[in-house]
Amino acid sequence: MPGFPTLTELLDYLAFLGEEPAALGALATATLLVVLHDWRWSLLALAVQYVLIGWLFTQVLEPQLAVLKILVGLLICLVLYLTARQVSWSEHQADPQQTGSRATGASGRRRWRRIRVPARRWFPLLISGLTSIVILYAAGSGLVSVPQVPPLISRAAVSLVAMGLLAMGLTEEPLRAGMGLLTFMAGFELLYHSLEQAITVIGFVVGIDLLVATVIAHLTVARHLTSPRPEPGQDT
Amino acid sequence: MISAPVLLIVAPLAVAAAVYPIRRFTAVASLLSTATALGMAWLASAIPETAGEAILAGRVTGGAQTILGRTLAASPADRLVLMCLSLAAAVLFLLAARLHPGGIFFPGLLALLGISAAVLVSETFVFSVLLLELTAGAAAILLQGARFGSIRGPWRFFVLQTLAVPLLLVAGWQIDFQAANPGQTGLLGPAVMFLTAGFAIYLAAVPFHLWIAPTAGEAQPLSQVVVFGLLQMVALGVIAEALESFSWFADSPTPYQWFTLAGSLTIGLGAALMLGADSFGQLTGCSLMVDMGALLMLLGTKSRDGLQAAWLLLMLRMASLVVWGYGLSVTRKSTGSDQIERAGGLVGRSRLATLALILGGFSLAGLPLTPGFPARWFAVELIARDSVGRAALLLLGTASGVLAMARMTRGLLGPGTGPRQGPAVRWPEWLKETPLALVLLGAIALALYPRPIFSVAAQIMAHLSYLR
Repeated sequence: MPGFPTLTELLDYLAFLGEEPAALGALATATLLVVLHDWRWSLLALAVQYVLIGWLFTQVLEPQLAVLKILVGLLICLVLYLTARQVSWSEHQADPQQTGSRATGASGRRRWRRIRVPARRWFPLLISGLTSIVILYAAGSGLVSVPQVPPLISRAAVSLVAMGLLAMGLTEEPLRAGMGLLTFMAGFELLYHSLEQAITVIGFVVGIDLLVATVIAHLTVARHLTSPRPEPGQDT
Repeated sequence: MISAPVLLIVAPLAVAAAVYPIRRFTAVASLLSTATALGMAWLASAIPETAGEAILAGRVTGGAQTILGRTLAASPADRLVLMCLSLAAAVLFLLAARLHPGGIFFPGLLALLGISAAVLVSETFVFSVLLLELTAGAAAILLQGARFGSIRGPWRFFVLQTLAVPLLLVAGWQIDFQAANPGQTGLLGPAVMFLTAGFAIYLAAVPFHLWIAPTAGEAQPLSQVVVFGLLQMVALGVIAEALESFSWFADSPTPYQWFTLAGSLTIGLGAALMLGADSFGQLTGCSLMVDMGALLMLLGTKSRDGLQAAWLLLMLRMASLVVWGYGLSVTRKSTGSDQIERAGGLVGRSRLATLALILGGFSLAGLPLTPGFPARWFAVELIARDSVGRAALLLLGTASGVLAMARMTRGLLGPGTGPRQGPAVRWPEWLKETPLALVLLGAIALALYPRPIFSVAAQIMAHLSYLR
């Protein structure tokens, strides 16, 4: 009777998926992080991004380490989810009128309405779209390549770094900009671990990721707990 | 038995964990934290040279320690820097008992001390950089404290420090790669650029200065001393270590050219913004920009004297910030505002706080007869050897700061909207003013007799072979 497949066997089974879709998927999720307004969808995009980056990590790291990266990424998403929930809860307590409107908004119709693109979101959409086009063009023409790093990895890394910086530049709201910072770091790690595979360094970098998530969580709570209502353009 | 470098890291972290649950008992937390910082200062000065020697009844050994394949060793220069950091932290812990900067201050600063010790004793550049990022995270939380609302200062500080990490890590990889492949020198050029850019970010050179103003305007003044003083000293320690270890970096003209340019821009912008400063936070931020620009220019002189002056500048900056910060804390509590005009007539309410603001402010600006002057004058003299124009720019920045502080002084001494006289201060209430009086006396003593600080800076340099 065949046993449960090992990690290597599992990766072999999934090899047909290829790395190119994962790289494009990572760029797409990073773009969504810039464009999406609702923190729930943004966090989902971030989680998917970590899985896709983990898939790309299998090209440069041992599969076990790639899985570790995915798990840490999902843990970071959990930390941010709990933080955002806590902040939303506090706002409901602080503003009963909003509580009412949000409770109504819990219906399926309203939930779906949140992913519509309001007029004020056209600017980030336009900017992120243009950035994506530039990245894809540069990748196709071979402009974006780092020596000693596989071309696909360097393209994915550069696109994540660019989108992360863009997300940080468009807002100073710590949760949303923080997701940009995490995207930036994820892109850099993809590049860096192609060069440096020492286990202690990887462990430290994972620790830094968790630290970044902790600081984002702390500052998000500090910013929102006593804010009477969110600034325009913010959902948390 | 435990190795001294490991104890320097572990002890403050362990005490931080112990202090956290009792952080609201300010007096106890302050005493425990002060004792730990003083203990660290003593340990840093008493570490034996070799692993064969031991102190504390044979329980603590000297020499290097290897953990996870990485060496930890406290060089003589590291020990002096650690001693300065620990003594400064001890002063801050004592003052915190009076100023109540928030519960997280004690465990936060203790943790920062432990991580800073790790940064300094780590012999591996990449690990020093990663540990510096840990200090940035801890400092961001410390800066925010228990304050709610705006997070601009800590957020920008953390983001910018994080942006420096990739540059320095890639440089670290290039350095390691080149060391393993001595024939391939092609990576050293980019490594110089990455190191220069990363260090410029750490030293808040324009355009990476964006965290200074919000931090100076919003954060608790004692936390500002930590970020603008202690952490800058740790960063300078890493830069000095890089200049010492990587001769190709120290010999390249590129970092000096960039540091000089960035320093000039930082001083120019700080001096220009100072003209419109109407709050204490803006005054602090602009004065610090001029000071940070001076530090960058000093590094740009490519000389041992320049590096020595940089150490001196940082140590005296910490002294100035302590005096200024104490006065500012009392003033903000008294007026409930950061605006200078709201502090009109402060002299009638709190003479000592007014004196602290005036002395600390002029010291930050570098006025003669204040603690900050010797370092500023030394800097002008050194920079003038290379370029009179740049020295004139620094003098202009200093003059701009002095004028702004004079404007502030006129406001503080002038008539105000608040009560002319505060309530009569009686025993034992006047005891509360004693720490402020002691800080002022210390600052005056330092202004009149700065030789001990010069001596420490000279000793640090005596242990470095940079450009010898």
